[in-house]
Amino acid sequence: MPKGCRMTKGHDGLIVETFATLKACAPRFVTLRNFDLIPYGCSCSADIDVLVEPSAISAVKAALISLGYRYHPGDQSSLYLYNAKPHHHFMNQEMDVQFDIVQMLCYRSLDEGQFIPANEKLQSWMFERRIQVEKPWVYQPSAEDEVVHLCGHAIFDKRFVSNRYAARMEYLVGQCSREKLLEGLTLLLFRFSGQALRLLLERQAEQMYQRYLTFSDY
Amino acid sequence: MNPGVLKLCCGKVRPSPDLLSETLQIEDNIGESIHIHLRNLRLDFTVRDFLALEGTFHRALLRLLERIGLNGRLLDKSFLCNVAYLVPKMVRIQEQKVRLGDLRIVFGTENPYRRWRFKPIPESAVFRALQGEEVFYQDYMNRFGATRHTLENLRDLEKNIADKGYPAVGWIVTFGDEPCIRDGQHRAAILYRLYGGDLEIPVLNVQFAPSFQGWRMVDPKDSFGRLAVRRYGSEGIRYVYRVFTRRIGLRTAFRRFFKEMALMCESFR
Repeated sequence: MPKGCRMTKGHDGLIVETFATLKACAPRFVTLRNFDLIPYGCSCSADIDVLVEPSAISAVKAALISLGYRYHPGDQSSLYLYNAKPHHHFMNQEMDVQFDIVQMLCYRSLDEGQFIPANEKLQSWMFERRIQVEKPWVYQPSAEDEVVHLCGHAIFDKRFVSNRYAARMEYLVGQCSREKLLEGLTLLLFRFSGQALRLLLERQAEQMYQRYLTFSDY
Repeated sequence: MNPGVLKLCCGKVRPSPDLLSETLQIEDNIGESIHIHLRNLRLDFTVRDFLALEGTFHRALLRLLERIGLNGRLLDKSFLCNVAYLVPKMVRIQEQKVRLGDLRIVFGTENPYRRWRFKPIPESAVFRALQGEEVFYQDYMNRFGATRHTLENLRDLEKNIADKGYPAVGWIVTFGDEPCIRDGQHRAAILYRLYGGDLEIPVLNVQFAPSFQGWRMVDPKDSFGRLAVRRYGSEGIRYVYRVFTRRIGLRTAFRRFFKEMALMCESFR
């Protein structure tokens, strides 16, 4: 168990039960990231991000509320462009657990932080190529899809590549098919994809945001 | 869709009924292309093509300036951009000797009836920053200035002027018979601090066609006078009653009227 994390039966039990519920009511779901924090490191401030098929959202909402979560709609003040949909937050303050359920892969624009959907292919690959694991989160993206997603999340949502994300991407890149990874990166980062792949292979992922902003070869 | 969009600049063009929008926006879609949105038209450029287009516009502007005998390379590029619309009306540019103490800076205010005041250089935010009032400068720049004018840039400029001298670091520019500095307020403040107000320096003075007055920073006192006469002088209370009460009721109208008068009086203290 990582240092500084709790081991509460209720807390961990609730997370496991929630994933089991998700599996039952949303056959196509995938946990997006931060697997090293599930379940011990999760809290209301370190939520669990899950992608769910849009058709299952209402069933998921009803099921999680019945598990004792309070529902909070996502950020209403932001702009959602090109049919992007807000997040759905489910919080159980007593157990210090929060799930952030999204029905589409969206990233925040570098301009004014508007939500912009990623290419549809990236989303469908998330479901089609997901991997079932014997862990509480049940499904995780394929190595290629996780790397692409972490690149997008770090560059657009966080505007910073943390050591943790860099280490995870550099670890995963060894397990990836280069063609598939490059294809995914191209759908998200366009012509920067080649340089992004090079940075990952050369273990310089921390520099990705800076390099992305200064990229001009297009 | 590309979330990596950065707005490079935006403005408004004259609206056209057939073309709907008055948008003019240039944005960088990182890794994809540069977009110029002009009304309902979108033009896509590679970075190279866009820079070539920018170079063409810049050269065209320099050629226009050459027509009146000015080397546009002497002027700051962003200043040139801001006054590009005035270039066709410029007739002459001459070097003029001016006492620093006679120059005025344009000082922004938040009063809607008096958006700026002309003040002597020692009262400018830049001069005050050089005297150590850095918080005041940052606050002023956040409200009225360009974001590129940071304290670091100011210190670099101060060092450059001390090393290379003026006008090697760029000219101070004035327009017509107005004493206010149109470009080079930072340079002027640094020179004033280094050498005092009695120093005579050369400035570039731009002259316009006599029939054209659009270059003037209209004296706020005159504009106030015109506004007051037009709105309250001849028509008086009848105007207030007619225009304001129709929409917002008598009490609100009078309250607003006195508030506006108070603001106007404030601006002349």
